[in-house]
Amino acid sequence: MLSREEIYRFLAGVVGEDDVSVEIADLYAYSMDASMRMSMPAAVARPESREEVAEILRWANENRVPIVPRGAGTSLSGQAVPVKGGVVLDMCKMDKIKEIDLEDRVAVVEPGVIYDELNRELGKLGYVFPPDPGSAIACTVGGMVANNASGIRALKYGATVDHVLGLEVVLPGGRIIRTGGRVWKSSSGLNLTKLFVGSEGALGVFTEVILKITPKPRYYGLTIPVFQKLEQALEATVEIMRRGILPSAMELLDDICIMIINNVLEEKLPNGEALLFIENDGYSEGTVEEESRMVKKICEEKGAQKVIYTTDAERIEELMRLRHTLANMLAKLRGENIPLNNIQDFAVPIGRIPEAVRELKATAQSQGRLMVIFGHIGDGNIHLGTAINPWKEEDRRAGAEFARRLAEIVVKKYGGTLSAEHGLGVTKASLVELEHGDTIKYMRAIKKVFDPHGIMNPGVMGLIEVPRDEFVYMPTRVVA
Amino acid sequence: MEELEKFKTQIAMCNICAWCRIKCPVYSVTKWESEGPRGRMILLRGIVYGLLEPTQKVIEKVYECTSCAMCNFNCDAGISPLEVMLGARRAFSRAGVAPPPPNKRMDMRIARDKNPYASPQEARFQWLDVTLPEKSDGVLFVGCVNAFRHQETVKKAVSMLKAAGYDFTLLKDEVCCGMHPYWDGQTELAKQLAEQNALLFDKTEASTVITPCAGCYSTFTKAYPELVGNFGFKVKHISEVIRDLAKEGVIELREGEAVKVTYHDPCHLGRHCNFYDPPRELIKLIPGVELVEMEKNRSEANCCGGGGGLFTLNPELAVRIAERRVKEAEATGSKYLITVCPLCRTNLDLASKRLDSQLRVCDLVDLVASRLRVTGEA
Repeated sequence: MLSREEIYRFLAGVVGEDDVSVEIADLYAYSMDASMRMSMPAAVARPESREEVAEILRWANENRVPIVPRGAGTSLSGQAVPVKGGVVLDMCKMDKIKEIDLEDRVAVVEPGVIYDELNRELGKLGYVFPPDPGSAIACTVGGMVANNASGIRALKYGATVDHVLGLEVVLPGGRIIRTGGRVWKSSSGLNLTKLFVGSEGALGVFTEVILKITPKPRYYGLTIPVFQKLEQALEATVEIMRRGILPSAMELLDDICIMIINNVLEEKLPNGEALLFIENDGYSEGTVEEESRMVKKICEEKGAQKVIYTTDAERIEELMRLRHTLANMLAKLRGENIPLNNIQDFAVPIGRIPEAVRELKATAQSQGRLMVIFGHIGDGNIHLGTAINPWKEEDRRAGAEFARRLAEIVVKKYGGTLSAEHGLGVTKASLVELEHGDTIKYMRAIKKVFDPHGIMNPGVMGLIEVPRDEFVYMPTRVVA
Repeated sequence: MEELEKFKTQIAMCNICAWCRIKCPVYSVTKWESEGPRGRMILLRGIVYGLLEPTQKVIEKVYECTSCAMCNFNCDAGISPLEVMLGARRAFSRAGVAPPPPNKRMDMRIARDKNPYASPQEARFQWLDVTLPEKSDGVLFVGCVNAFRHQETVKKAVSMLKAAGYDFTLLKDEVCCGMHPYWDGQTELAKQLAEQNALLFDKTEASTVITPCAGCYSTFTKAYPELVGNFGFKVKHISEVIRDLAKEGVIELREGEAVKVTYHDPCHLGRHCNFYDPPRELIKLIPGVELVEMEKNRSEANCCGGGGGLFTLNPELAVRIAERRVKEAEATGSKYLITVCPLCRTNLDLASKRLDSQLRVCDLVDLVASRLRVTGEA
């Protein structure tokens, strides 16, 4: 095993002394991401080129040093937590938008580009990279690709995977490969690009991403139906999809979310057990209006007491921003507790949303547990929020059991998934076999092809080992 | 670290989401996680839960902050990273492990000389060439940076007010407002200075304190009520006073060179005190002067890098931050970058020179003085 000094000397020789740190203050700051799990790296390095990344991965492979690529550290599942130590590669210096080509309709970017910044540039040209994750303001394209991230507009425009045409990837050992390219269609060979998307840094390090870009819609309409019963909202969701309407976003907020949002809104949203934010967009005003009218009618049929409709761009932006910030605002409810990460990102088939949500809610209620329900309900993605005291063994055990119970309901009973958009990371790794059963062995075999020594982000997705529960990587005392 | 315990809930409530980091001036320049508000919250989380020792390096990270308050404006978790940062500095100071040496030396100088420049107190008003009354309704609190570093500007301010017949005086024994020790977490020293000034204000029987310094302004309005209890004075920035005099016609501003200027909002006036309009209104009253806003303005304005003690701790980093702001100002095509804070001015001027920029950094008082025709009557 290399000493910290040896690691430092090597990395400094590659990226320069200014871009490597082994200081405890730096290491501690890089020991966590938004999952609130923690583990100390041995060093942090900030490469500026594919060549630097390749040199580091060649060395790391030879010396069996774990490598954890990191975008903005906004992961809710711990993909940027260096659970086996090693080197965190902060990709912040590889943040160039290399090309926006409107003829090929692609953007070529480095992994450290921030999502919102890319869209600011694309927006000037009338285009957008649409998945729109909640962390849009801060997250990087590299991180989105690594986690196949998405958000409120995935319903209509798809997740990150639907927009990645090609990748440049540095593999353990230092080899640089390219997958896909600028073509929009390809049926040539196994689709390695799609394999790498969502690989959570477990196969290699992205150094370039080619994205398909989408013309930005010109018109938006936001319909907000208020329902006395949560179930009515869920049924409306299913019916809208059944009737062939495809909104650009369909978001569910339960009564607690409404209360939280109303705390910061000047023009309050009406109270009810649930409301939906249904956004329709398009390139003609007529289409948006017609779809919105149909949406309104369905919501009324399903018992909406009141339906608000706005085409005011500022109001829509304000409300959608609040939807983006909702998860952060929930901190007010949890105080010193931490969120139970395992239940945050389920998805079920759209048609089964009402019964699944009903059962999940009833399970929480039967345990007397406060649980918030919101999410991208249009595509079946349900965000559940509850918190536990991480310092109490009893609370942790109860939390782990509760998470497993809900996961079983979602996966076994409703044919759902543990993660729609956050990835498995280290926090959901303990449940991986529940969803994937025996097929995990194929994932592990693929991991071995690219990363035979298991140096790439060890710990994520249970590709090397399955942790006991999601609390294995809780903060621990650090000795300087 | 008992004092830090008070902030435990806020620290724990941090979602580690990174939204605060995006617009942080320090992080934007260095891009080290530990040098942004999220990194600081992670470090403080470690300390408050007893998992991380507050070593000198860790403490230094808590001082690598300009106190610009941008983090507060970008936090949806209902916490104030700025308040936590200040609380941590206070806790470290009380425990005797902070501030870091450069800041400590500066605070010691302030304690000894009542200014940060190791200058004798008598030198504070050497530039003053007019006589002012002992008592008056308004007190012009000059502030250290202006009194010792921008004397021509403050001299113009005094002449302008006097020629306009404005009822004011100076505090002959004015001492540092206490801003530097306050943000260093040296609350006791800040309190001593605040009490000293408050006593002097009382003696003048004034009702209003006027200052040409954004730092002094925010210290009087935000810190003094905490430091001295009932600080019953109305606080005005000089740009408000001159704007009113100009609006009333007491000060007449004449046509001059047609010129584009841009305005830099000092963080301690803008985000800290919600004070955005008076300087802009005054600029717009000057015939021939066109105000062109920078892309980031008002509550979105980027910091100059000089505040929060960063200019003392790491002047090189402070100037690098200022360079970013100067480039934003250059993009407006303006000839002048106007500000109403002497520390912003100093830092932006250093950056402008280092960038070999054509942009001239100046205080709003200087711009107004160059277009002045005082009538002395309303």
